[in-house]
Amino acid sequence: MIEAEALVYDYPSKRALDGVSFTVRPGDVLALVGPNGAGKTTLLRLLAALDRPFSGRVRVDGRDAVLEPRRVHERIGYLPDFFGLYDDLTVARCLTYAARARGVSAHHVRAAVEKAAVRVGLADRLGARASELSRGLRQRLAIGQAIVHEPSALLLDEPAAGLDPEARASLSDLILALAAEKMAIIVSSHILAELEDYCSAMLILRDGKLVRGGPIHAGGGPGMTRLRIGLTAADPRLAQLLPTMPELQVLELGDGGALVELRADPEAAADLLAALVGAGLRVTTFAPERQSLEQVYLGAAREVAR
Amino acid sequence: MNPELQRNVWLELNPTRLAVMPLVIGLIIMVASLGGGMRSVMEAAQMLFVVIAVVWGAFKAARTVTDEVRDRTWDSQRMSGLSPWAMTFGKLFGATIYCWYGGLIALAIYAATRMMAPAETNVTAPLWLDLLRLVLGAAFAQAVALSASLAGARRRRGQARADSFLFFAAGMAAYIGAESLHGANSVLNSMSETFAGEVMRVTWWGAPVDAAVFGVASLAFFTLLAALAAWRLMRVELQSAAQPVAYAVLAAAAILWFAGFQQDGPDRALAALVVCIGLTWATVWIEPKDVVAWRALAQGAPGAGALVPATLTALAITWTTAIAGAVLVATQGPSNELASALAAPAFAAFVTRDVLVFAFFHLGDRQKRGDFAAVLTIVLLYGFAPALLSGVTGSTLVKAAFYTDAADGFTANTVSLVSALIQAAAFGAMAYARFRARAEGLRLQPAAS
Repeated sequence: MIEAEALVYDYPSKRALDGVSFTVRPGDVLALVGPNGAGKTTLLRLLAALDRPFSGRVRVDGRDAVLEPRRVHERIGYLPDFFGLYDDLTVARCLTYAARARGVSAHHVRAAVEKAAVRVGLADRLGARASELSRGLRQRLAIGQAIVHEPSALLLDEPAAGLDPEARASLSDLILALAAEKMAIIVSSHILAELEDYCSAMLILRDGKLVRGGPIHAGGGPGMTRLRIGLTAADPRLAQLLPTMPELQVLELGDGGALVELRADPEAAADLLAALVGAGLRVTTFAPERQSLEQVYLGAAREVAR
Repeated sequence: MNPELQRNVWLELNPTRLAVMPLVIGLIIMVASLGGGMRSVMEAAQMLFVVIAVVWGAFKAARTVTDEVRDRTWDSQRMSGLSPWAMTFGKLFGATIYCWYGGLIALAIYAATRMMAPAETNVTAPLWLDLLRLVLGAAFAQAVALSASLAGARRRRGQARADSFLFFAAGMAAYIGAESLHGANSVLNSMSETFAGEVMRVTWWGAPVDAAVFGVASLAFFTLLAALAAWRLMRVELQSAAQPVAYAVLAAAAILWFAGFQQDGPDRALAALVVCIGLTWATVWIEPKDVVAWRALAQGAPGAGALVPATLTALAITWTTAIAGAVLVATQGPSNELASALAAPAFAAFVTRDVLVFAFFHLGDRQKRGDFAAVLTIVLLYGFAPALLSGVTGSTLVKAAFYTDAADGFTANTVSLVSALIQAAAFGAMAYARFRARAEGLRLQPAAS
């Protein structure tokens, strides 16, 4: 788990991050988006305990990044936006070095290397030099090096930059697989389309601050779901009924329908549908609605502009 | 095996390279043997060792960190679980392992020629001492180059490749300095006395010591200090808690060596002060002037102990030494040495002012030009200002306000001390005002605007 609390980071003459707080739970894949210069890379470097915040705290699995940076390094994997590889080493040796350097014991190195190679799809290229790999495979090797020590959190800075569509699809699969293994993952990018496949929520950084103060869930807040309700014709009873429903928030309301947010619980949805039908409303649409990340981002951007 | 050393072995030692090195050395030795006897072979082998292990080795050590920065692998190394010592050792001997391979072949030839034809090669120093001197000289040059490289990476991260040559030059300068400890014309021999029929001896902490052995022992000592410096810098890079103790140990060791050549307490204290001032200046150059870290330190941020600049520790040691020196000179020196006693704190006060001049300019808007502006100001204060004001006023005391000369007498040294303290206070106040203004500006300023 990654916890950031009131993070402030200063450059000598400018504040790069200002009061950033959020939590990423095991299995979450969080998109970190924002325009160039918003502070995304700075934030990732603080989370990776490579730089220290001016104030605030970062904890990874409960370990404080300022007070115990080396213990945080044990639990985290980080792929920088511009990463380097030891080009003259083979894939096996790159992974072996990464494993040994990240504290994997000599007895377990071989198994760790094989597992990482399988995870990133390089098991058949262990003998190839890093310099001989395509860009997509180099990206995979770099991720392999970042996860060879089985971290509980993974930070990826612009991982899909420069990849072809096939390599991007493979990367999506890999990220989803790692998330399924309960790794907490943050992926920074300013290309929203590439995040759509695997991110459950996003942090929007703008001028060093989080827009809306924390993670924004495209399909509703954490533990919540959004439902689109449509009627055969405009009916004023809908506007009267919805506000009376418990634990339900009306996001949009029109004559012929509404967008509501409620607990992500089938029983809650069933109760709502029963209430609508019971009130005599002729329901034609009753379906979960998930906004695209781009819609959410643009909506948030419009809020900031206002 | 140490993983960093292992990685370097993979990169540096492949069968082709292992085969090429002895072939090239053999070829050069063969050519040398054609031109002369065993002496030519010995000299060629020694020269090969210097070229391969010292020059090439220092070059490789200077680039080991800068190459990682350039190739963007340094961050992943900084996140490694290796201990700072393992990383230092792995880099110091790993990056240079091919140079050691070639150097040791050359050294073996050197030793063999000396043993096979001692009369012809005609070298008086014992073979073991000579071999130790050569090996330590190479290790010293490499350790200094690595330390310089680590210091440079901290100061100018990302631009460090262009500075590789400077780090290499630092290693070579250290080697040349170390070589000045050896041989008939060495610094040590100039301080040595020859007792009838005996070897040259140098007096250190009151005891006569064989100058040749002392030279090699000193080289071993400084090689250890250089490795310790590299380890200390690596601790910072790997974010191991870096306490000021390491600097104090390094300073104490250097003081111990230099002060040992003086004959009594006051002279030893003043020699120690000279070392402290030199080291304080070194920290000013080596350490990054991280204004944000100063703010975090001032606010007592968690873990702020690691942010204490070595320059602060250096200044504290300098002042302690200066006051101890002043007391020793005043109480144990000749009765007319009170003036010299005042000179010691005056030197410390001027160094304090210089440090605050650097702080003042680095807190300004043009931080990148901070070093240049500070050096220019200091040059003006030590050189131009006293010359100009002495000329205008005709007073000899004016120059005492800008620099200290221990031989100038009581009044001049009092003027020096008071003037240095006033200047230090003035630059300190100006630096603090900038520090406050900058902190206030950041607090009020919207993020990243």
